[in-house]
Amino acid sequence: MSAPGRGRLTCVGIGMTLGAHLTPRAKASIESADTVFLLASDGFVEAWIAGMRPDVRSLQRHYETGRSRRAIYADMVSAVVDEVASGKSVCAAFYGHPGVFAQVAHDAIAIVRANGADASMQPGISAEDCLYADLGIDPGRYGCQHYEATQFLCTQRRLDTAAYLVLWQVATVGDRSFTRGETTREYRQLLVDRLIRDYPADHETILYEAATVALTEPRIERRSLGSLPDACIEPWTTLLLPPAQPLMLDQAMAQRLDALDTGRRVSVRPVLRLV
Amino acid sequence: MMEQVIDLLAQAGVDGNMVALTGADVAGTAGAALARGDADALAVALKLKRHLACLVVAPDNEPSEQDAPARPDEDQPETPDIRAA
Repeated sequence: MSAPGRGRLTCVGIGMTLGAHLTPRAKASIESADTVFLLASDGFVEAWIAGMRPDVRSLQRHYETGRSRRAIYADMVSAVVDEVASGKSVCAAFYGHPGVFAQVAHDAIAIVRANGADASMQPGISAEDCLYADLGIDPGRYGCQHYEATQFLCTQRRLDTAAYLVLWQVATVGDRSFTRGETTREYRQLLVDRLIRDYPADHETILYEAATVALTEPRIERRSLGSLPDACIEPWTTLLLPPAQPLMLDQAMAQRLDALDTGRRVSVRPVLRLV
Repeated sequence: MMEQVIDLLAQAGVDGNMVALTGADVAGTAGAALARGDADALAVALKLKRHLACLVVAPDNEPSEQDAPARPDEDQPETPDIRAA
């Protein structure tokens, strides 16, 4: 508990699908806070939360075309932090998970804590979670790599093509200014050029969008890697690449494990099997 | 009407009952959009913006040299012994 008058911050996730993903704890936080901020990705969802809290303050007003998202996020953080500093119990609700590919909640919590007040994060169901459910993927089966698309393009990475690859914010890939809502075909071609270093051009990719209301189905569009520049890619579209090669056994490590197992007198020798 | 539709969407989110959602008795263009399962048209009927700004991370794409992990200079021998070898 924070000291009286110090304020406190709870960042919650409201999930992706209206009505389906809100946890009891997140709902309680929204209903009981002095002030509620909201960042939703869908007008229906915003209206739904406004039905619970007519005084909700939308963080959408900070988005401004042509302005750096870094500055926009800083303004969102300031709005939340200033309210906590005034002594209020504040709930900041974000679509999906408040801490997954979302920096405002992390930044706000760090500042509030540095100022000596309490801050916490309650998880939500993210687009990533919906992706696993809708596509029938278990990240534990082959492993799974996640990157923000522009960072992936701009930095050197060692891709593991035996694992899944998930790229976020593909619509703005290559926008280093963080001011654009989407980039052009040429930028997407650069992304494809980078991926083709590790994957064949005809490798299957999946464009995915979670359903935000029960009225619609998730978007699951399969197409070849080479055709991605011509695809319809929205700011909320996520790109998934399934593995391109089987897992390779590390023979040296298998021998070392064998040696350990022998020393332990394992009665039934475990079999390391690729799945 | 807005409250009625949002309540229907919320209930459909809870129970996954699309039949109850699309068959709900809602008047006007909103009702027609709901019956068709057309979320975009429903948003227009309710004067809601269907898709809001949704990009939420702006990561560091040009890390400075200070951020790079330390590693030996590959052009220079690490020790005199290596140079001698």
